[in-house]
Amino acid sequence: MADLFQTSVSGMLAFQRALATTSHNISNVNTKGYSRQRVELTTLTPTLVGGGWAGSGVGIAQIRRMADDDRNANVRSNTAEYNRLNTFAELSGRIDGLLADKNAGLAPSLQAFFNSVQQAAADPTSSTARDVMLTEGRNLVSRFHFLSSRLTELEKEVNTRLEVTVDEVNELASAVARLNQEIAVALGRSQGAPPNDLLDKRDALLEQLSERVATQVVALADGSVNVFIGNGQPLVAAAVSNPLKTVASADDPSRREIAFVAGGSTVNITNNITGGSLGGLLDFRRESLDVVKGELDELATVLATEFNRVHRLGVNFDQGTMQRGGDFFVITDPANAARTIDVALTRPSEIAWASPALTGEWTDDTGQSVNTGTGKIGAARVGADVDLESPAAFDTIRLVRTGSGYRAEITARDGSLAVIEPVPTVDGSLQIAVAGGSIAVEVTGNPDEGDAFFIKRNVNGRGDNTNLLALADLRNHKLMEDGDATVQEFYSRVVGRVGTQTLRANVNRDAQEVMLEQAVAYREEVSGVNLEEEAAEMLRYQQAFQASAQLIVTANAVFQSLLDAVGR
Amino acid sequence: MRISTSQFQAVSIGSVLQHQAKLSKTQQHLATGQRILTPADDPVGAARVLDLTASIGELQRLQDNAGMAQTRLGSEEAVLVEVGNLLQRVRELAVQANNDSNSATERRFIAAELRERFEQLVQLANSTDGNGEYLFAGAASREQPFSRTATGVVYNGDQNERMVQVGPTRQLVENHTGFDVFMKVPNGNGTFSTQPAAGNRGTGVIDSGRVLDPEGGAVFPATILFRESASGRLEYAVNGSGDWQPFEPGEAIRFDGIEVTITGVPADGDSFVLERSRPQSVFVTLQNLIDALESGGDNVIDRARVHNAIGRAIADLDQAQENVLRVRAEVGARLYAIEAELDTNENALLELKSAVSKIEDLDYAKAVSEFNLQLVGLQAAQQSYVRIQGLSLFNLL
Repeated sequence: MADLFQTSVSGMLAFQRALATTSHNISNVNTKGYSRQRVELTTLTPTLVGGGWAGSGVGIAQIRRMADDDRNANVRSNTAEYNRLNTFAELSGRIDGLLADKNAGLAPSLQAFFNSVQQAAADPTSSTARDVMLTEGRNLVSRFHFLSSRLTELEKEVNTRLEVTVDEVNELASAVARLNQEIAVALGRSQGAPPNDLLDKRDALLEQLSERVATQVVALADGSVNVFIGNGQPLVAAAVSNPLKTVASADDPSRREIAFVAGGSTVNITNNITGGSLGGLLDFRRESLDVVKGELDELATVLATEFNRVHRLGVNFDQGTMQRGGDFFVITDPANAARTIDVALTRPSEIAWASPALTGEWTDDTGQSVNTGTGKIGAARVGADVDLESPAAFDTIRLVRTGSGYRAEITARDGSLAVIEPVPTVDGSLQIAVAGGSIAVEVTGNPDEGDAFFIKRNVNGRGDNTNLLALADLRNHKLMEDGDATVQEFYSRVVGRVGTQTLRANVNRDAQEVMLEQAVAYREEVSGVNLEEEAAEMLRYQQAFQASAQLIVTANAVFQSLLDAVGR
Repeated sequence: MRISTSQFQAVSIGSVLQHQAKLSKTQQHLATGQRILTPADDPVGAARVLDLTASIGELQRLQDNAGMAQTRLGSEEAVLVEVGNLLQRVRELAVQANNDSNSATERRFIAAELRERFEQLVQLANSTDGNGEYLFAGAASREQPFSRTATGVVYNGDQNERMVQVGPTRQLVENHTGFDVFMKVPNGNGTFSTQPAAGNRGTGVIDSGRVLDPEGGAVFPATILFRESASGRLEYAVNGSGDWQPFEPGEAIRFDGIEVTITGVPADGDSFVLERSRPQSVFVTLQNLIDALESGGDNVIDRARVHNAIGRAIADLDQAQENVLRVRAEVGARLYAIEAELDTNENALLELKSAVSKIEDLDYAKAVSEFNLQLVGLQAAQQSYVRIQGLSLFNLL
């Protein structure tokens, strides 16, 4: 009789526990990281009675946490990759929008600048047109500055986010280490029964960790786990966590990098970090930010160098006298060309728009030609290093046709005369050596012997636009990528490449999101709480409990009838 | 497959959100009319649009350049027309003065008008465009190119022509220098000029001559010497050859591929010189004419001298007129080229703009239908979410 009571009580107790577990499941239906639990029932040890082994009721074998380590690891690795791509796509999109913006990008000001040069060339004596050119030049450099400062801001943001993320990683790591310890203790106390909710908590922490950096989790026999990052750095070793920290880059003190601190030594592991938002930040900085910044610097450098080179070939008439043009642009820090490029000129009259030398047929006092032949002289190409200023500089060159070739009579500014023979070059022009360098001209047609031409220092040729035309033409020169792209094309390529990168990041992120959803679904398939299921479980255990309770009544009735029989 | 309640919730709300995001993006496209909101929407297209926009900007600038060149060439053309008219009038006066009915006094009257014309010509040569730039000064366009001196007119400009970019690969010369228009004009007939020797005593008048065969081997200066033979016949010989030919007034004298005609009667010992043509400015030509008209009296020898001088001046004037016509023809050709370039650029602009619009502009029909589709998708997701949320076993307990 006692058996009957005992058996039904064991049932009631077990079903009560089962109901409690169901209730626990239902309560935690919205708890992140919770794994549903199941009470596993087992028969109690039977007792030997006359007829054999009689069952003595039900007991609880285990409260099992429905979780699968492989599925959890799968979620973690997908989380790390998703967060990496998400961070990359988000930041890359910001550069993307910046570069191609119709108002903020470089393309419109590049275009406006070259247009202003072209306009100045069309109207060389107009100082208004040159003023516009100077203003457009300033607009162009301020656009370079703007883009460069936005990129620097992005870099600073990357730095800040690295610091914040590293702090978070450290906190999560130490929390995991603490839980490792608790779990080991709990396991010891319960002699092997798993502390389900602690395990859930740890898994949730590990997942949060993998949002920040890709990890490798290795389970140990005592229930704790080791967490490795990079190429094997133990972020968590059982109950101990080793912190990460941000350090200044050796190349650039303003740039933060990531170091691993263990046993008093600090190792820079920036290049080993993969996955998570940390990996995304580093990838973005390396693959997008640095590259764009470098390309922008390259663009500024090439533009300034080439523009200056041509600008120096020409002359201006600043303050009334002809003088060689200086640098149009100046770059104070070549390593940060886009940030430090500036317009070196201050006045429109400093723009070198004319050629240093003018040419023509030799004339008498009235300006009449003395030539009888049909020879014509082309424009003079005066080398950049030809002396224009000193007394020894050339003033007038009289180029005379002789029986066998040409004779150049060079009068210097101090009045001294030198007679030399010009050197014919392969392209058909004549090279005339003068102080500092050489001048090349071309004579076409058939000059008679004794016909003469002049190459004169340009003292008043303000209407000459030769150099502005050469400057405007730089727009069409393939200055970039080893002669493969003009500055405009180069910039378009940068925009196109950044766009492609962003597009790819977005597509990959979206694809990874699906992967992550699948991984989560795969885990939830085992671990997730389903309320319908729990409702059914509840009904099942409720009925079982009621049945067990009914058994007590039955046992009581049986016992009562026995008492009745004896008590008579 | 088992599915957890929270995941079921997340998935269904997630799909609502996803539809919303898509709808918002399409709405942005519709609101801006742009197919490309950021380069990531179409990286190749975005880069292409940048290049195309740059080309459009450049072409528009070049169109402006062409317009400016048109204006300048137009000013030049107007001045050249004036110069042509002036030279025509001068030639008429020269022809009129050449008539023997004019006395020396009347010739001086004509010379007086020519002096006016001369001043007018200097003014025309010093014309400026609307910006105060001298049209015929070359690169020294801020300084007056022609100045009067005691001996005549001096050209202070240079020989540099200005180029202007009117097409992506097309540069045009947009001016002529004074040197080209007024100074470097060949005299005579373009190959040689003729004149009587200083001490001629006869009435022989030489014309400007012609080239019959450019390869004839004529050498300048060439001399035609006259003598009276023992028989009293007038004979001439070329370049002291001793090959004396009988002279008939008005009959062409041909040698070495050239031909000149001498009218009137040269005296014994008179000679005529043929010189290689040299550059001579329009001003010198005019001055020579004026000098000729103002010199000499009414005797036959003076008349012959004046006829010779006027004849020479007319030949020089013809060269000057021809030179102006050449320059005008060049101006016309350049204006035509600019016109053509403007047309080409305009077409290119249209094409570029339509290319940009093709890449950049939204296909509204497509976008609207997509929008509607997404709207239906969102509604379906929302409705199904609401309906499903109502279902739970617990409701039935």
